[in-house]
Amino acid sequence: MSKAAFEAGASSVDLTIEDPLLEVRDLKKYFPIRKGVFARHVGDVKAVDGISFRVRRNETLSLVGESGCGKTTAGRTLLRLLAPTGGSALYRPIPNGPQVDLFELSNAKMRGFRSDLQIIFQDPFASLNPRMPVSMIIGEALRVHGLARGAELEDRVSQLLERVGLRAEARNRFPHEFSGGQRQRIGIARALALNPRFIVCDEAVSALDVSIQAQIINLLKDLQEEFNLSFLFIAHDLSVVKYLSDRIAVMYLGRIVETGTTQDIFERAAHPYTQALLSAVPRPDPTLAKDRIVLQGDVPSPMNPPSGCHFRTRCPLAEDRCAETYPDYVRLSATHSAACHLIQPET
Amino acid sequence: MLQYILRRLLWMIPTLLGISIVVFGLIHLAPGDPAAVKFSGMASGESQVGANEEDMIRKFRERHLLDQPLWKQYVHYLGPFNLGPKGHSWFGGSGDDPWNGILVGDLGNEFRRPTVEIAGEVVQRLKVTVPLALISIVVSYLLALPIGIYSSVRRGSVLDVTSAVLLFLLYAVPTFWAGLMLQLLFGKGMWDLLPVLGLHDKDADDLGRVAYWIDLGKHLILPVVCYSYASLAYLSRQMRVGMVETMSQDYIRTARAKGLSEKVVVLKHALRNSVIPILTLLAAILPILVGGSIIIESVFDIPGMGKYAYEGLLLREYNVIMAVTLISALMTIVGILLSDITYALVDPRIRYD
Repeated sequence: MSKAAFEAGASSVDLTIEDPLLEVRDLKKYFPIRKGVFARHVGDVKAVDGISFRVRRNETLSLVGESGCGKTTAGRTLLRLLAPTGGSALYRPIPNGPQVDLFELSNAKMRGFRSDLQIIFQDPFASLNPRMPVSMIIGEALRVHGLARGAELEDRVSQLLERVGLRAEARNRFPHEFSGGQRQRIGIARALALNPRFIVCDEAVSALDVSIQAQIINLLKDLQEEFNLSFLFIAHDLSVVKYLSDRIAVMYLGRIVETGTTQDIFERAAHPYTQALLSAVPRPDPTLAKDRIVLQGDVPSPMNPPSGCHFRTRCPLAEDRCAETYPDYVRLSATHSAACHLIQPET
Repeated sequence: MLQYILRRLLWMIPTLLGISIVVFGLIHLAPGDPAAVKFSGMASGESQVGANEEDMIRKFRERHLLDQPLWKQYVHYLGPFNLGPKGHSWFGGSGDDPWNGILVGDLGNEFRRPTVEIAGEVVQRLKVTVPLALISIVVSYLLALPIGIYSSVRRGSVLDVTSAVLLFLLYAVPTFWAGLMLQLLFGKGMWDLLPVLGLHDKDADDLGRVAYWIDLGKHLILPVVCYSYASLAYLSRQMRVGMVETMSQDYIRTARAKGLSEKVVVLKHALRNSVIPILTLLAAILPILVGGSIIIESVFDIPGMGKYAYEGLLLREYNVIMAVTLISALMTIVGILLSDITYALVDPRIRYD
């Protein structure tokens, strides 16, 4: 390992990625806790506490972790649906072209970039306006961004509906007339309408039946190839992630604890938390030994995280030093790094 | 949908019947009766009621069946048969005037002025009260929606907090007090800005067309303020709550993610979803306005339904009280039905079958 790479090793970014579509540096999102009559600021919920990653063109990065670990907040803050507390999100639409920091843009300028950066929401029941017909839900953004109007708009909506596997007649119906899977397809068509380059899939399949999940995942894969999309796929289900991702970042209590390629994570997981998560993935082979690592207790409160390594309170391997300092990232390979005191860097 | 409306209309019959029984029983429980009130003027100054008056009271009671058991009085009132001495021959009457009661559309006559038919009088009075109530509803909605929207969008701002405090204060102020204070302030006593009694100046008939309407408008300002301030406070708070809830919905986040401007997000996506419960509050406000008309019309001396009801109560005009109550009840039930229908019209998810 070269010296420069070793120095850069104190981060969770994949060093092999050059000219990323999106580079997130030290993204932070704190929710202030206010108390009393005068709404005194008494502390913060550090939902996302400094995460960094890069996303290549045409690849899928998955953000996984238990509920409450901050992965959804990270996705929403990234798209400025929540106001970021700190960090930067460098977006480079054209390869080797100029990059913009999404967090520095004014609200009006950010609206211009919304057509490039889209999101598919978790809950297909709540995320579609119940008072609008499908054609409006999908077509509205096209009209607002001045991309299509009149008959062209209608055509585009029909095309999109057919592309996601719905019939064009669905355009005149309202969201409540569809099943969960169909609604999620509407959500996808809506996100696709603006020809985005980057889509945050925020638990996009978690609310669906397993059989429908597979359909939607396949649809997402096809669309990625067809439209050269990059996905940030936020999920808690590792079996879904394995099939879809190029790379995976594991989050725990607002921080990334391990990142690597899908192979790195599934075959060489280094962090005890990742290992515990992996052991929870059901394996369709009853002869395999049951070596599940069952984590004790709940995720600690992000209002008052444990000292040192956040995971130490539930870690089966924790030592005294884990309570003292938060571990630096240890680089296991150019693509793979983890934040744990117990891991020895390769020499 | 049509079938649903029909069913609801049919349900009104037992509802109104029940209301009429309760009210009929209640007003007869109240001390004093119309005969005593009507003839107390004659009897005043004398310690004993003279034989002549006693005879008149007895005859009056007989004529109006006031000496009969309550159930018989009610059946008489309900109709369709006249149970009185001149009533249907089946019930021992002379048959001169066989029909009576609300079932044949007869709301009866006043006791005090026997020639005045209550039905006609009520129609006259409604022509005053209903427009007044409608104007007030429009005014309170027109003000409440922007206030509610603003304070939900700028939640926690100085304007939001001050308007909240002010509106709660307003909501707590009783109408009769507010009415009297307005009269004191705007009347001849202090600022002398607006007329404080009645609907017209006494020489209004001599005024030209435009001047006549201006005069009417001036007279309406204070009563309308009185009518609308409480519902304004109520509505705008409801609107704010509704908007705050809608703005936290996922589809609002979706709308933002589409890159829509905040204006479109608030006025198109959020408003459409939160205005529905506010529309249906109309049904809740209408009866309050009709009830409020009793106080406001008395304070401002406006010859509407409310004042009629008030006078009827004082004079134990049973037929007037019954008529006013039943019409208010009918208006309320129809109002609720209308708001249910509006629900279905604005929300594509609601279908009544």
